[in-house]
Amino acid sequence: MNKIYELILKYLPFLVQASASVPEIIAFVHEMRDIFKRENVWTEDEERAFDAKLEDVTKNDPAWQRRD
Amino acid sequence: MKKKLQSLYPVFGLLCLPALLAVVVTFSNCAYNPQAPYGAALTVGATDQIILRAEQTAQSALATFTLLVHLERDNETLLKDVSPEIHNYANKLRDNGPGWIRDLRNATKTFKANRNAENQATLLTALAVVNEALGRANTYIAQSKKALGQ
Repeated sequence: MNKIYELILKYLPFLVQASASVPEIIAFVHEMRDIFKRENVWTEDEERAFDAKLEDVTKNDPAWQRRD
Repeated sequence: MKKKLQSLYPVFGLLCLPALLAVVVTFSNCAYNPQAPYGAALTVGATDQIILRAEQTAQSALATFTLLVHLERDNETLLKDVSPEIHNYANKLRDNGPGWIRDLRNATKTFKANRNAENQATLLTALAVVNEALGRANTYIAQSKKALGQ
């Protein structure tokens, strides 16, 4: 599991540096920070909310759809 | 001689009884339990950390994969010229990313409900798949940003 933290530590400074020009990356950095601040496992409601978000984003976001 | 041996049978029986009882007691702990076919359940405290990391990984994977598919789509022509690998990997994520995260979520929920070694192994396998994809996605995000000069 340490690998994920290594990756975040490796890329977060770069992303923070880049975030000044890309609002999407600012949101991403904040989201990652919130994700790894959490100390408790999800409640059932939180689980359902994430699973619904996963389906919604990957099926309805145009960037997630293949064009070729 | 035979008669003498026969007179010792009750003595053998008494000597064997404790050994027989020890065998029964030992193997009764190994009896098949249909409620826990893969062994005793792991403790909640120890396994909550694994579940927490699995949930965080699923969340960070969705955020990271979404960032990459957006970066790639928004700058598709340029990035295709700079590195076709970025485009190919973004498409790989579009095809497989949701399934990888879904597999991780299913394995997490199964392990959360039944914390045994078998389910833990399945969860760790699903985690390894997503972690590998996260590593590659982060590499391509970095390459994309560099190519875009940001």
